[in-house]
Amino acid sequence: MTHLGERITDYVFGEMSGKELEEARRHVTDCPQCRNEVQQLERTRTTLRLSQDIEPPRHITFEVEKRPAFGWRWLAPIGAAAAVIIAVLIAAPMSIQWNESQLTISFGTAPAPVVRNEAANVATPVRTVSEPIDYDRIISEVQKQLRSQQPFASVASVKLDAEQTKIIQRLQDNLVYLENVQKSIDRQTAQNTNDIASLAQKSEREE
Amino acid sequence: MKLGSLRPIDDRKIVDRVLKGDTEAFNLLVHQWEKPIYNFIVRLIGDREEAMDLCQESFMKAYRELPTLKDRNRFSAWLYRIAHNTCYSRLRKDIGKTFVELEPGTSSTRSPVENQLAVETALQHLPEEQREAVVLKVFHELKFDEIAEIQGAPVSTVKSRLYMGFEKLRSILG
Repeated sequence: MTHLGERITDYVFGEMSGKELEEARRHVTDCPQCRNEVQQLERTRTTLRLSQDIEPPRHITFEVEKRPAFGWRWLAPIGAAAAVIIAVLIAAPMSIQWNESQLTISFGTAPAPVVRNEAANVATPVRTVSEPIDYDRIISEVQKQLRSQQPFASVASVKLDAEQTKIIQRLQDNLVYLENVQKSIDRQTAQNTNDIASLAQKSEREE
Repeated sequence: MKLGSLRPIDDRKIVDRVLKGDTEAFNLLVHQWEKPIYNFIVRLIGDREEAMDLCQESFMKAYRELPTLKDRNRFSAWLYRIAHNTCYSRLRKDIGKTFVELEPGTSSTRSPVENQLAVETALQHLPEEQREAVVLKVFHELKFDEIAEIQGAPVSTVKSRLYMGFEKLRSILG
């Protein structure tokens, strides 16, 4: 038999069988070069296997959101909304307007509401128009919102990564800083109040 | 842990349950494969905390793509392939990364902890394909054709990667 050559990995990793394996064994016994190579591969494999599998630092669990039956799910919010709307209708004149999925309700002679465009951060005045309440539209809009939520929740027991931890730490630091600024403003305001009071008293005395 | 022979029927049954709407059954697959996939990723990436994130990402992808699994008896090979793709996306961002050099020594002169670290570090000195072939063969005991399927390469290439990887590891580890 010739040297094992490329088949040496098959031999060392047990992917040879039958007659081929028998011949390879005989060859390795007789051939110092192949025997040496086999021994080196086996030694490296033994060293690698000193590295044991480790346990994951946390376990992954998928959680499924359980939704209550339709009737119970909708009964409370729809009932509450209906009660509020009826009460308001009785109490005051009202106008309702839909604009890009946003419901705007105005009462009596209140000024026209403003819809804030968050993407562009621009305040856009919107004219209100009185119209009858479209309950079906309100319900379908809410249903659409809920349907868009993922039914299969993300992973539980998720630890914050280093970047998230850093962001939270930064926010906490900012909060402490803002609290200190607030205290400083409070102190300054108190001082100003005292000064004004003193000036007023002084002015009175001078008069 | 062997890929081909690892209770493929059990996996198939669970996959069937998940695809029929029993989404919570997916946790059984996670429980079964979490540790091997995590260890596969740790040895490929070399960062235990990041490996956890990638492991989680792999299972999320597996859940989302489960309906595309053609051969339900081959769930494990398919899952390793997903983990492989997830890791390679991450590894591509690490081009040019330098690795910590090993302290000189041999396995007989190192403590078990030192050996663990030495092996993990030595693996990081290999090119990705060689490292993956070594990890899947030595630690996961996969067949060459299974590794070829995961790597998307011919069996002969996988054997060559393994051999070259071993040569380099021998020079590093002693």
